[in-house]
Amino acid sequence: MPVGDERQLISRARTGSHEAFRILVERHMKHAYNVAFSFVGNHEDAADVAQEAFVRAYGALPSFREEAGFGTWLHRIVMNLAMNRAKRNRARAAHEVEAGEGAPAAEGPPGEDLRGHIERALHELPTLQRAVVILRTMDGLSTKQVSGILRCSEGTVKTHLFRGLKKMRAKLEFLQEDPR
Amino acid sequence: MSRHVRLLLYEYAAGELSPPEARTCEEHIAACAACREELRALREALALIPRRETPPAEERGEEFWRAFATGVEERLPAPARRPFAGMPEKIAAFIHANRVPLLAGSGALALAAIATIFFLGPRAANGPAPVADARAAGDTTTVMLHDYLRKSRVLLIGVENARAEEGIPLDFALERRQSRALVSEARFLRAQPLDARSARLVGELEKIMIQLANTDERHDAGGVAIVRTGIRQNNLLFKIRMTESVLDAGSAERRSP
Repeated sequence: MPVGDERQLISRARTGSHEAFRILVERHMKHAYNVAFSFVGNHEDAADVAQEAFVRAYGALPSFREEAGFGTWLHRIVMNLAMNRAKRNRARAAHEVEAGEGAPAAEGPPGEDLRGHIERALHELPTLQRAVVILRTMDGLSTKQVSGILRCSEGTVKTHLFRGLKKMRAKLEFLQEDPR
Repeated sequence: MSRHVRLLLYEYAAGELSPPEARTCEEHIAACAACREELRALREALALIPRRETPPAEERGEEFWRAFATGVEERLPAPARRPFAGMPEKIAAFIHANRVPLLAGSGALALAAIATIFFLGPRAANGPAPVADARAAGDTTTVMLHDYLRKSRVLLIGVENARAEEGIPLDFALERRQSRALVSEARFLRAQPLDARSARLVGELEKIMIQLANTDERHDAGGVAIVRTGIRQNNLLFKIRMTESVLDAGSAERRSP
């Protein structure tokens, strides 16, 4: 099947063409997966979230107004789902810790401990700050791309990035005093 | 401290500024102790954030990505549920793009006639190739059975995989409608001369479709759980795939000279 441009594929997918939508999936799946992974931090959830995002995107195609590119729109869906999943995972982990209170804490390797601190600091940030910090510093997106995904101005992205990084540093300051 | 420069510190630290902007920043930082301190703190924070040398997606092999795309495709609603499904894609896309003026115009009736012809005609655009082959061989029952199994598979996968979001109950209205249509198809198929395995499977699917059609209009987690258990206990998705493979093999045999 000849590969048309993205608009054509979207238009065909809207009329029910699974074939056209599969091409869109193949074009964007790795990117969607990487974004999901940034938020959820494991392969299993990243795959699940990215697949779910495509299924939802397909269902929402009639309402996609093409103001932004398909990739940006999809990115937004992935990010929302991934943040929800991360939130649920954290709640579950907190519940498990609570349930296992009194048991001696397992001593992980030092690297694991550091990563845990960083992840916790990151997830304690307010939603937008966290999204900006992840998209900008971990996923390497530009300010303009992030502003497109989050539907806010580039100035807002910069402000959230600045504040988010500042908070992270404050939370992790003790690591520099006593690195483990 | 300049707010303008402060907001550019990340870009400055990451080397993303244009040379004139970087120079402006540098000059300001050299003269402003507060911004120097901010830059130092920012670099410390960035040093703590893990950087990936390999994007996570690259850790997955080709097989994974093929299965990923197929997994998404299998979870998509059946094309028949969308308007214009079954038409050649170009015509459907054209109608979709111009649906308001077209439907408002006097040509609407003519288009409806075209749509009916295409809807009842071959659906080669979205259906698997063996269906078209079987149709060419004139085996209407096989074609209908194949189509019925494909729709059932997509629906059951959707029911199996649907997850409620926090605070938003699952809405199975479409699935209920689809299952009602599939119950009718199953009844018709069972009146046709089917092989024993297919007839048994159609019967089992009919039962599960009736269960799904009868789930409560409101959020009926219990009803859906029963349907899911039925799908798993009766191994329905596996049986569908097996029967589809047998039908595919039969089509291939008929095709070969």
